[in-house]
Amino acid sequence: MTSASLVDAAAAASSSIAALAGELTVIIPAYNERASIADTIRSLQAQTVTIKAVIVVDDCSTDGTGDVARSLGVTVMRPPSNTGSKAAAQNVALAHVDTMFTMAIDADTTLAPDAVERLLAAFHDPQVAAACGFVEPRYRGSVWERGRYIEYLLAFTFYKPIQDFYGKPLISSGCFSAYRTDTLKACGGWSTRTMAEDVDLTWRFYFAGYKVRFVAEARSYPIEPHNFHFMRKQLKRWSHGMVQNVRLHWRSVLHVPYLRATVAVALWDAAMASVGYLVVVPLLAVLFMNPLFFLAYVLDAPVVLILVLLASGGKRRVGEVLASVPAFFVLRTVNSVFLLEAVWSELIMRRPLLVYEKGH
Amino acid sequence: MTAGLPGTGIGGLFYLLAALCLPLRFAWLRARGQRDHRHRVFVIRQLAMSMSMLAAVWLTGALWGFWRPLPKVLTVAPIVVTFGTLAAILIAVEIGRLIIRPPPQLRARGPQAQVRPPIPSGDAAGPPGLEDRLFDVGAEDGT
Repeated sequence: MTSASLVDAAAAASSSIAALAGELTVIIPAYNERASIADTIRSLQAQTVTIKAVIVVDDCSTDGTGDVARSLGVTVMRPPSNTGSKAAAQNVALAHVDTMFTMAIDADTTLAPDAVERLLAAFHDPQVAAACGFVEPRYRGSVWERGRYIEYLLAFTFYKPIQDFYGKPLISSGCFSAYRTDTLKACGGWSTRTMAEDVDLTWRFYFAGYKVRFVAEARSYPIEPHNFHFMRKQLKRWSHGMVQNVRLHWRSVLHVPYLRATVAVALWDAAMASVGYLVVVPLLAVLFMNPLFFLAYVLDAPVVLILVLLASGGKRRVGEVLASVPAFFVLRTVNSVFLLEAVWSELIMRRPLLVYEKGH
Repeated sequence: MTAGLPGTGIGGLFYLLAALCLPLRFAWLRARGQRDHRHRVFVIRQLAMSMSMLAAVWLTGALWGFWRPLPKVLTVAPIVVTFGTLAAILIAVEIGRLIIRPPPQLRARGPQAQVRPPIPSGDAAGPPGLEDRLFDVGAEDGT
């Protein structure tokens, strides 16, 4: 192909994505997000492609979130009472979407200027029902934000691209994903029956024979929980949500190639690695009176370090990555407590988490 | 959201092996006519990361052995146990797939398959309140 024809092909692709964006509605569920929603809306308005409609679902906020959104020229919907979950709030707007594509984005998430354009490119394949992008914490100050930064670097540069190459990303992340509207509606929208509506929806797409894509070049920047109070709520919701989805869909998951392996491995680690961290390691250290056993918590530190350094992509961020790695091990150990609790409550005690608590 | 414990034993090994098998997947995709040069770049990059991880594991073992030499059984046992556990999990899943029949909606797979009833358009699709939400975990797959 000559350089002229390459330029022509690129221009044609770009104009066809612009056409797709003209068929895009963005839904932003929001509850008391006055501090962050303006940045989210502005980042949508600054995209390289023009989005047809932005709908903010002001879920009965008490801080004037709806007024802020309205002042920026987007549509604001306010249900008569609080819907109780992000999924239900998104469904309020979905019923009014008449474009070919729907995007869901959290009210505390901003996008890179070309994120929508890059994400929509995945929909050239008619079998693709959903596409999600790369997630990177916007602020990396506290130990929790830094831990999450490393966790996401690992997940979005190593695990998720591999899942995508095998055709089965585990989750189309709820904070930034786009969907084919008719497929989304045909699948019943976002389900409120689990605490992780994004897992539920992603897996239902697979069961219905559709594809889900991860687009690493489409970048989003959410605000992550900055203290333990909010992190606790988020980890509890995510852990219970994952286990609830396994409990709900396990028969179907068994018949989806590759997904069954990733889910089985994730569940094993959630249960057994957590037992290892929280019970076996301390027990061995006490029984043998040898603190060296505690090194098990950081035994994989060289592997984590090499991966995140390769993923950091530039000298400017190496220092930040190195300073954040210890926080990752703190977050992982805390995470294991919530995973184990979720496995115990949901699978053993059959006591599901019913109340959706907003993480931040 | 992310799920599980990134970097942890069995999951880490699973993705490492999945990365090492990427060339096979790449060859399979090419054989099916999917020739995308970005696939080649991706496979090379992920393989480089996997090799770096293996080098890091080897270096950790070597440094540990230099600092506190371990009996051979203690160096081999974790490898055998980890690979054995992963193999057992994957085999168990495959056996489960053979024994347990897929639910009806999966058997009728295709664009027509609807896992849940479609939501109505317009104002009729008002949000259910938390108090009257049907929390039906376990209902779909009969657990």
